[in-house]
Amino acid sequence: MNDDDILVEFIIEAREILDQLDLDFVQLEKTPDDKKLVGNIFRAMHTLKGSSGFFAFKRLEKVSHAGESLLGKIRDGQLSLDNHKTTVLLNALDSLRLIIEGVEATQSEPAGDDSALVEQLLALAAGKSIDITLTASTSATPEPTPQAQAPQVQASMAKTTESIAPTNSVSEPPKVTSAVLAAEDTESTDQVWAADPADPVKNQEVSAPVKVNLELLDKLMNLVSEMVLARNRLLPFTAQFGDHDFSSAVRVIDLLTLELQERMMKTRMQPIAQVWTKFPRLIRDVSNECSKNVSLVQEGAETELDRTLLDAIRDPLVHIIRNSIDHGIEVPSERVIAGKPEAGKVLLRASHENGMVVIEIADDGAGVNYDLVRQKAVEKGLVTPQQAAGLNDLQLLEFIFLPGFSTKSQVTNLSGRGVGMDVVKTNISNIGGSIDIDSKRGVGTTIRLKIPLTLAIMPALFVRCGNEPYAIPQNSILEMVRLELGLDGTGLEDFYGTPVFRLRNQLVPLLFLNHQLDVNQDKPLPNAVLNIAILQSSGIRFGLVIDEVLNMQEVVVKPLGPLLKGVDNFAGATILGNGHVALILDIDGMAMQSGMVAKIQSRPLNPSMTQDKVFEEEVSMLLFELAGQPRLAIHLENVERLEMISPKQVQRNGNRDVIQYGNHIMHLLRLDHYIEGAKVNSASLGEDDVIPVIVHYTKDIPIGLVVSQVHDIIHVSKNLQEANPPQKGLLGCVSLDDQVINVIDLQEILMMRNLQENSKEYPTVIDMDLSA
Amino acid sequence: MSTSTDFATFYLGGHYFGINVADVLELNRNMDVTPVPKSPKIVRGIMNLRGQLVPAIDMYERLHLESDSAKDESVSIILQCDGYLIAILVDDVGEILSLEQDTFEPPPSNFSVVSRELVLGVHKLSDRLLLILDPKRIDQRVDQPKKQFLLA
Repeated sequence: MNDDDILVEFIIEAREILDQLDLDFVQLEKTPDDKKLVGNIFRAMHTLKGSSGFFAFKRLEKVSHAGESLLGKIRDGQLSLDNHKTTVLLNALDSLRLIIEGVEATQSEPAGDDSALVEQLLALAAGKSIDITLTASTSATPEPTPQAQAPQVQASMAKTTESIAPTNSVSEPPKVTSAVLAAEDTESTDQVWAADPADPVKNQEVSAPVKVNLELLDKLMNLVSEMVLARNRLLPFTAQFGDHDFSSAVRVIDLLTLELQERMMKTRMQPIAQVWTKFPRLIRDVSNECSKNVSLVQEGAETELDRTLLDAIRDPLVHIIRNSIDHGIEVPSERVIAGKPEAGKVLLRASHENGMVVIEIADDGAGVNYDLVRQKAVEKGLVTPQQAAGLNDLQLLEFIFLPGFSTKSQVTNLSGRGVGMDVVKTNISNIGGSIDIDSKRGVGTTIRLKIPLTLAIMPALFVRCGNEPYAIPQNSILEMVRLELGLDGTGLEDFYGTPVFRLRNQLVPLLFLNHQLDVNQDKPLPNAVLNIAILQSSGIRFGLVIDEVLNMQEVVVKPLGPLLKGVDNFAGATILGNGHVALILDIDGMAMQSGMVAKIQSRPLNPSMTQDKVFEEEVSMLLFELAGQPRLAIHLENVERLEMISPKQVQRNGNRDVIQYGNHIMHLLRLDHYIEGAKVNSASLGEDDVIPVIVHYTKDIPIGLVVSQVHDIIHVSKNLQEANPPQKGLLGCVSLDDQVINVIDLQEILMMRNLQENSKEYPTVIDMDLSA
Repeated sequence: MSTSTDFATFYLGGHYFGINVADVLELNRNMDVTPVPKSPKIVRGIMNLRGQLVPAIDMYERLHLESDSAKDESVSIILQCDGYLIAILVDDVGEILSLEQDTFEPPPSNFSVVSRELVLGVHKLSDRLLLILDPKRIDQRVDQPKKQFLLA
């Protein structure tokens, strides 16, 4: 092990110590009498001092020594820890951290002067200056705000800017300081030795983890996935040869590979606690700054997530937590008036859900001020006052995610600059996650992040262009459209040089994948059928014309390597089950490179729809048909899936028709029995027919609505014309293109069905004549 | 002290080339190459080497060799090159030769610039010349399109 290695070890160790100290200090503030905790902090600081001395890092040594002196007094009960001391000690930690970062970057200690900080620590240790030095300071602002602050506070902040604060502002002259320093030195050394016997015991409690280079893990991961493919090639041979010994050997390999793969995935997973450890400190700092009292509750800190994702969610989480404290939690006096406990609560909860990790950040604050959001939206010209008045809470929440939207009137260090939730949303969707807000006035706000377990594997749609398959990441796909040119006037149009087509009366610009990739320059024939993937990228929606849609598959993303770094169109590549390589398209890069983004931004395609169209009161419905009722619609939110089932799958369960659907038994409900005007189709179906079924979930139980034919998704006005007098099974009707569409009342239909079922229930008491 | 070096030899467009075996990881026949549209011309595509993506270098393009027929290099040589792997596509492989330093000569001055950058020199064999390639130079024209290395 050479010097560099030792230095790297030192930096890693120092960081761990600092992270742990951050936590311990905040904990200590809550339980100031915890002698064991003080002892731990003291020892950690001492270790840091010792190692710094070994490397002759003078600044580190001085600061940690001064911190240690103060801690020594606290440990011995000569001084008690209060908020001011904690703040100064935390400042010292920040200072140490900065120096360590400098050491990491340059292999040597960065220049700077910490004398002000050191003197403060020593002054506090001497017990002299508590009342005069820091009474004005409860703040731990990351950036100095010089006016309005006491000079002593500036001194405490000198560490962040590496500037030298005037030393005369500290009550102790330098001479005395060095005397204190010398005096403390011998004293503290003795104490450390006295405390040491406890150390080995403590070390045994924690099993030391092994540090492994991430690159090595990636390589292992690669090998394992390759082994899985090799195993897949091996499996067919067992059937081919039918040799028993061979088969059992292969089966063992099969099982081992599976387990190896699972374990390997696990090694990359790390508990979310890794990110969360920073938050108690963050919350303390932010709430101090806002003069609020906030406690943090963490649940599910052991939830595991891929390492790269952990890094990616750190900043969004920090932002959301700051928001919660700054915007959400009220100041203590307001909370008391509202009948809440003085201390606000921020809850962090992580859990696994359907192969995703869900992270909730909930506060019990005032909730989103919807009136203010409405007012701001009008001020910014996003909606007219009339429209704003009609917006509901959910629609108002959408504004929070718009760039430049902030309800804070004053710009502070923490928030109000309008750079915020839009960035959070972008960051989260970049890693394939999603974000939801739920906020109730006076009760609090809950933000839910859904994050995929791992970045390395993602769902992708394979498409063909020329002779090669390409993968499109699923999270950028909005929908797939099949466009028959030359059919009732549909065709490509030209919008300032960009080909566009009409999708539900909106213009969508088109890119041709074969042109983008220089595969060929074929133009579509006038009567061609285009397969178009509608994609969302960089805030614009566009269609990508491809030759053929292949299949959906989970892919393992691999980088293309340095030689192909300059190629913009690809985000990476993946290896298919048969060993072939397929490239993954970089949708953002492709949109940018085509120049389309700039073009569209300068000339919005659908100017009328840019902002306020979104808030037009429209609902999506699924248009379908029953015999005798050609135009029926059901609210799309009630539709989970569409299935085509064969009559052969239908089985009888008592008097009901059911089919096996996933893990459930799905009941089939013949809609034509329940809707006024529909003809009951009693003709039996042939073997080869298929029955279209709309799958709806009530309380996680699927119900299949049997219809004659499913047509399309339509967007219609939210305002239903109610059927008067009410008609069986119908909610009302809407008009679309001069045609009347009847909207079914699913609730009523389900109720009718249940009534029917209940009427056939067995009597609750069955008389049994046992005497006979 | 022996001055002999082992060279893996291969054929390309009628020429006979050698590469120090220390740089060669392995040889593969008939590997699938997936073309990468819009990549530099010398990159034919990428191939899957046991789960690792390896760029396949079109040596005809790289060496500016004329190819009279359709290219159908069947052998790929995987090289270790500055910490990552590249594959060079060649017509066929020859045997491994152990050669003494005394048959070696630096490239003649009338060599084209392209070749001089890549070819370390020649070994005079009894019946023909063996051109020794420098594997570290093979991928370098991708980033630096202008001739920056005139002499080895």
